Amino acid sequence: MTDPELRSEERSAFRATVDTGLWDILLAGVLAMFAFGPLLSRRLGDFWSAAVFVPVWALLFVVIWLVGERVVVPRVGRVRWGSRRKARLSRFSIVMLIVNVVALVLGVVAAVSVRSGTAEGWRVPTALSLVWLVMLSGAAYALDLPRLFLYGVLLGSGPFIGEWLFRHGYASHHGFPVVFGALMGIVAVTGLTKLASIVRRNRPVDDEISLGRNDA
Amino acid sequence: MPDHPGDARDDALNRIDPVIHAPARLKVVTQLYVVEAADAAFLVHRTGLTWGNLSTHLGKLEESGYVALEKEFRGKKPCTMIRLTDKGREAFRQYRANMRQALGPAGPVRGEEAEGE
Repeated sequence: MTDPELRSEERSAFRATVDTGLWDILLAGVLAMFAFGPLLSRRLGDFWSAAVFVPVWALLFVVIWLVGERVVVPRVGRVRWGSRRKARLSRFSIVMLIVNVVALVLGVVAAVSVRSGTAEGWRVPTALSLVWLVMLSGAAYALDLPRLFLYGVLLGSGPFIGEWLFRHGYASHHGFPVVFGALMGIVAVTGLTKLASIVRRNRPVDDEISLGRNDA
Repeated sequence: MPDHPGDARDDALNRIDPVIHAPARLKVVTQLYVVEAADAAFLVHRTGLTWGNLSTHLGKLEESGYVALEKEFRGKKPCTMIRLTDKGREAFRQYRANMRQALGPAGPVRGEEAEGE
């Protein structure tokens, strides 16, 4: 077994424990804000139409964590990764932190310019598109999940498609509810399908029973 | 240093570690080599072994000092993590080197490979 083969084995092991569909479901939860937030903004205002999703995300995160611990881990197992993988994940966390801070700044600038009427043409969709592309490409690389590259392309093109639909009178709210609603559906269904396939293919196991002999 | 390449291959073959060489244990050791530690559910999932088989093979690897079992608690739930010891890692590295030496230079030539297919 050569070094590249071992590296490939490590990647495959990593994917097996990370690519469980739960990340997709979490991403679909984030996309819900982009899909439904604009529809709520008339009733709740810009701030609350976004803020209302914070408790929703918190609840979703708790549910995903519980499903991970109770359903996924007993089936795919738990791993402590080696130093190379840990370093890669730390770099990923730093990059994600920077991207999110930049996204927050861009979001505030965009909101202010939209409100003051100085937002020009395609600037906001371009910024949003870039954030999605960078974020999901970084995640695809760090987590070894090529599917996230595809998500990056889909979500990166979403704001442009939405803006185009809006300008041609096919959609309201810059096309966000239509485009991000559709993408949310695609991502959620992908995640749920992946999770269902893991649950169906693997039986849950309790290592304390099977390795009981070691306590003897 | 052996006089003939064939002697070197024989030496390498003689040095193959039978504890690691068994297919099931080789799968287990390979999985443990690429991570720091993993639980038994991960090994079952990745190797396709049954629980009983895995338990038996882990016992043999543990007897040889190649793996160590660590008890942990996740909240109130106990969890056993299995890791390759330094001796186990070194044994696997040596096993790979021996296999390369034993099989490398004497690999099948293209014609033989085609005939076999």
